[in-house]
Amino acid sequence: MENKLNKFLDPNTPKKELDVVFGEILKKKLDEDLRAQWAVKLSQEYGITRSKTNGKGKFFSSGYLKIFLAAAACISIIISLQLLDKTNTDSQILAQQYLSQQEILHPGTSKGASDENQTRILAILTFNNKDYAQSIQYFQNMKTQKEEDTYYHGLALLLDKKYIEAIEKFRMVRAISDRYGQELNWYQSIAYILDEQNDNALTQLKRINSTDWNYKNAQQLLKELNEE
Amino acid sequence: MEYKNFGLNEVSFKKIVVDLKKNDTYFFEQVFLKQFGETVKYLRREYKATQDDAYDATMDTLIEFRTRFVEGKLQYGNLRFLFTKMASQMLLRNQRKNKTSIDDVLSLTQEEDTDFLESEDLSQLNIAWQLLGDSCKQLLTWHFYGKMKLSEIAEEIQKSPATIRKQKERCIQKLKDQFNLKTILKPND
Repeated sequence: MENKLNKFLDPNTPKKELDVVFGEILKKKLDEDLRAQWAVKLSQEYGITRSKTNGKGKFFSSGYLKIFLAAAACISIIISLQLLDKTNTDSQILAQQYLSQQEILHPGTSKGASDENQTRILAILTFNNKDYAQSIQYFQNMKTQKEEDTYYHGLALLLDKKYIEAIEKFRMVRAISDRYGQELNWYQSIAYILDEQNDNALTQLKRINSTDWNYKNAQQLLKELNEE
Repeated sequence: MEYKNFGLNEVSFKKIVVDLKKNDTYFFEQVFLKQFGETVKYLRREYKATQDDAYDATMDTLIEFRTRFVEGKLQYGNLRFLFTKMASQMLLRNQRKNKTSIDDVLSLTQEEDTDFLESEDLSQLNIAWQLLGDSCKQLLTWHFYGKMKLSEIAEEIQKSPATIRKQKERCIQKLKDQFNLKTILKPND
């Protein structure tokens, strides 16, 4: 099997061929994204699921399997939440699902930055490895935090289910800058919902404008909250 | 006529194409996810397919339909018939793929190579992609996935085609640079 990724990364690949290879690679990635997105929607909105993963064939060896496993995992989480904790509301389940659905990664250190320290790099590395508890430790050990650090510190707390602390960090970022305005509106809303602060969540969600990131999801959450 | 086209008239058909070119799948989903269950049932009934196989074939058809929409290969006419027929073909193709003999594997490799990215590579690509700026993601998605010409994108975002061409090259280079997480996290790079 030809490794198209190597061809894409090879600096000697002719431009025309590079475009073709990149087009195929990107299509593969975005097709997989759509499959995952649609699997969740089909399950959530139409109650249609793939009953189980097949033990052989293409799904076993490709990324496709991961997507269906992820979808199945989402469904299992929902069912488990419903069975184990009857107090979980639809909005909380939906919020948790949105949070799990969108992969959150730190962009890494800035190009040309000269004051990077080991602790910050470790905080980022552990964040991107999804070891949020460890990442929080590193963020806490940083002597000074830039707004970006505080923002990702808040995200690590949110993803580690420490909602009250996460909300506090998000407030701190908002107080010093509006750089993460849209992201904060979204993640703070999620944190409020998961911490059962529905009134605050409603206020926060209403700040998400129609052109903002996650507007449609925010509307869905508002709908759920208003029905509860 | 609209029944044959999932309730779409010619205007809404064109809207789907325009939206999909910009990777806006909202309207497409409104129309086609509704047909999903019906198609799964059809495949199960007509071909005695399992739920999994019928589901996979219908999902493959949805993906293929999106591709054909943006490539201008679908005509307004009888989308319902085409969708069902394509789902049947996908089911038979997938069943052939699941055969395990060496001859079958060889013939399928020649026929189509859609699994060219290992899941590890895909995961690396996802990370690199996340790190790209929004304008790069938009440009690359519109051009490569939505099949928009660079001149169309230039017109849409009111920049010169030359600027867009250069931006596209820079974005691809950025993605290459960001591909390896170790490279990204190397201080003072």
